[in-house]
Amino acid sequence: MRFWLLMLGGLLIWAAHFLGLYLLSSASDVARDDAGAWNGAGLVFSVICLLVIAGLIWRGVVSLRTKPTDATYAFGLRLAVAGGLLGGIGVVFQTLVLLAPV
Amino acid sequence: MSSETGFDPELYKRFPTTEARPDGELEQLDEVWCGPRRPWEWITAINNNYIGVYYVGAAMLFFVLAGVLALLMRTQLALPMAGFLAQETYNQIFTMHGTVMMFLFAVPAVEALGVLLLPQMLGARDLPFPRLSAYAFWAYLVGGLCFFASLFFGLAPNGGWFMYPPLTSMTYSPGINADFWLLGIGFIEISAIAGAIEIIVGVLKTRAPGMTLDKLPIFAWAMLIFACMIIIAFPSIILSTLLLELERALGWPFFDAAKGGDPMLWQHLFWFFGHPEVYIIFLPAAGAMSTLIPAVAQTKLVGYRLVVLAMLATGFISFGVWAHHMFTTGMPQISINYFSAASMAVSVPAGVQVFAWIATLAAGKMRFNTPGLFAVGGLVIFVMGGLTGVMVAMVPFDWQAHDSYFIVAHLHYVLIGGMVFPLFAAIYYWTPMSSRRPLSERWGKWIFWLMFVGHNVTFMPMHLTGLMGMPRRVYTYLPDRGWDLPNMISTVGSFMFGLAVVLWMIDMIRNFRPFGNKDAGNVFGGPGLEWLPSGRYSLRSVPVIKSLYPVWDQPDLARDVEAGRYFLPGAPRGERETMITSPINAEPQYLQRMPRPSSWYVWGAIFTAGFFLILTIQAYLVSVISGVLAVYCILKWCWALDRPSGPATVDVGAGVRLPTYVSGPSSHGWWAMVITLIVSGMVATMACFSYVFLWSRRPDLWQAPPEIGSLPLTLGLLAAAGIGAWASQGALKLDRPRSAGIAAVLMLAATVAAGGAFAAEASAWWNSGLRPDASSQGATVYALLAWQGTFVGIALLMGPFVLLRWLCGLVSPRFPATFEVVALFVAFTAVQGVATTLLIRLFPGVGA
Repeated sequence: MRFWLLMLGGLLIWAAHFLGLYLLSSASDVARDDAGAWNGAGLVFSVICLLVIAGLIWRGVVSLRTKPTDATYAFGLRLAVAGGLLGGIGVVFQTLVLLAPV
Repeated sequence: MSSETGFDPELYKRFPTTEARPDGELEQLDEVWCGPRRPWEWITAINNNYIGVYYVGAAMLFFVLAGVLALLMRTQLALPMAGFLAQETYNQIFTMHGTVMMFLFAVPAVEALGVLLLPQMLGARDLPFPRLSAYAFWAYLVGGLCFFASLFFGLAPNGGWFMYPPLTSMTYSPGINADFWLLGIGFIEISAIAGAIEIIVGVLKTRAPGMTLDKLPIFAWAMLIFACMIIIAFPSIILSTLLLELERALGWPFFDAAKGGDPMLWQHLFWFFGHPEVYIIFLPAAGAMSTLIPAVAQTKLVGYRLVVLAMLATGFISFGVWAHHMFTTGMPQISINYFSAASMAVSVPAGVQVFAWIATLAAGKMRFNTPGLFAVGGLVIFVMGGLTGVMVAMVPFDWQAHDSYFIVAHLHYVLIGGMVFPLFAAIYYWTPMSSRRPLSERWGKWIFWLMFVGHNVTFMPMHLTGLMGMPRRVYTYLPDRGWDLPNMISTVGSFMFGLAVVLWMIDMIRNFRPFGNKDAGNVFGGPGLEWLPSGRYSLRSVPVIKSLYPVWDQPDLARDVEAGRYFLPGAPRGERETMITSPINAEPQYLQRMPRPSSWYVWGAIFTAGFFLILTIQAYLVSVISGVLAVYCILKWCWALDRPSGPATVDVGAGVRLPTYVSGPSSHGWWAMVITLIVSGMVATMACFSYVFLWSRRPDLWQAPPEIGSLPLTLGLLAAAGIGAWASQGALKLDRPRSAGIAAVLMLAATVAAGGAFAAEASAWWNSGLRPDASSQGATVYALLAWQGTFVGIALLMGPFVLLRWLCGLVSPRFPATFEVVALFVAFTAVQGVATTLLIRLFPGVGA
């Protein structure tokens, strides 16, 4: 399970981030109060997600530098790093929505 | 990474073996895996070589039938104010065209391709649950044909393939047409999920030794992601069809705004399934493209890792785009922006795959054979559909193009380019694997060009008719709006497409000769295991995989495999068997005993389809009888499971010995149950979402839950059920003289406790005065209770089933697999009960 989590981590965080932002915006809609505060919460959440992704990428890169002999493990690490990068771009892209004028 | 299972990889060095195989081994293998000998056995056949071909054939039959419906529509629309079809008939035809194409052709076709190809591709004798594949196929075929036949009686659904309420509510669709859709889709959902379970466990657990994840064929990756997506997406459509049918049949107001319901809930639930569905269809087709393009170009796929990542990313991001079908519904602007951003982002992984294909074609030497033409043609069409997809992902453009013919053009470019052309490429490419003769190259090229030109002539003008304002789903239009010419051109194109399909059918009749002992061989020079010489038993021996392209990179592989120099060169116990391996490193774990054909799963499938379809025509008694018979057949089928025999370990080649029985997380049955429970959990999660969503629409209508004092009883009983199920496993493992009996009684008690909890909770809500037809709160609370009740009902069947097995001596610490999966189910029922009970009792609080 740890191998799968590592390999899919970046994409899982993207999914969690998307779901989180959607829930926050829905809650904002239901609460009908200051949208700016909800956007702020979304930004904080996005930064947390980005930090987790950065940690994941760092872990993958460090492990790859040790040149693992196990080809399957190296494959998983490469997917983790690339998936982290893609997930990170996705998170930034989704977060830009929050920066639009309210 | 260390070994997953403790298997020593040094053992691989013993292969290929050098000693001669014993006489009669191959003959025994042939006899064990023999094909049908009597007419009835053609129906009860379970080998993937048969079921896979049946499955693909049935899917293509529905493709042709839905295509005929398309031609009828295009005939009607060729001229303004034409009277070829009446309005009501047209409504039924466009609804059935979309429904049949999506539910009866596209998903089953790719699933069928998986069932047919995966065992050979992975080096397995068969997928791990061949009876489940057969059940899925027969439920789909019988149910699908009856569903389609509704058209001949004027009873076909007529509310569009996405069946939006309130149009499909009882008020505006009073007949049983909509019910045909809602219940008819039921068996297709069951069939699709059964197939997905088979594929996930098959890809993860039945690979040839050494076929680690980095050597997994790209098609298998695609099928794995596809099946996982079905597991996540289909529960949403299961729930939405259940809710709408409950509203129509019993008046539970999920979508009725007057009672606190909201039609938007349907759209959320439907599109949470409906948009990933597009990628569910696309990904296996993309996997087929990524497999056959290297063969066409005779070079390795450029960027294998990136393509795997792109498919994974497509799978994830596709779940974040559902609401782009709802931009015009008045959702909050910020939510629209999120979905717009995700819709644009999903084009990135799709683009990665497209560039990988182009790079592979450029790096190799492109051969313009029929699969190559279909692959390139599909690529061109899909890219065009993708570009218009980016256009409609932009909200202002979508507002203009929504529900116009522009969208019809876009979706057909995506689906035909992304799925139909790759499917035809796959059919031409893989036919030599399962037929004595390949399909005709000359005919294939004619068919391609007719189809390619026909497609563009049909759908290219629809962009214009859409931009000129022609709405979708209209059965006719007035002259002099500038729509006449493009519509006529589209109609001409559609008949060209139809002609191509007719020619393909003739080609199939002329050349397709399946079920023989010989096949046409590796006509296109493919690199995968499926091109090794094979019989009904798949490969003679299961090779050790050292490369992603074993046929290209492992010289002498075909000779050694055929000579039985690898794993499992025969049938060591004289039965159908396949090797189960670990999910990451594909290390051999045990030998699975495979079932032989019987008729229970066929009858089970027929009665399952019958239950849903008879329910539609409101013959409730007959429907219940059919349902009971389906349950009986399935229980008979399950009764034969989990009966180990023969030695505890066997030699699978070169002195490597594997156990013949395992249970728990190593066993394939445990995996299947876990996946089934994920499906159930997803349905429950979506139901909880519906509950919260409907509360957010009209909180003023919600009443206080029952007195909190009744909650501990429900939770206590559920805890007892969960602990009882867990403890029963422990009791069985003790392996003492009476442990089997104690375990069976504990299990029975656990199921009774779950039943008691359900009764307590349902009566508490009933006594609180809340009624399911009174408000959206009542509807969702009782829907959640009904879902939990279904699980409790199944658990109450399982309890006596386990007890009966114990009385017949079939429960033992030595073979606990069935017992463990039942315990897993009962424990899940308890956990699900706790979660749903806490939600409806504690949210939104004791008062509205």
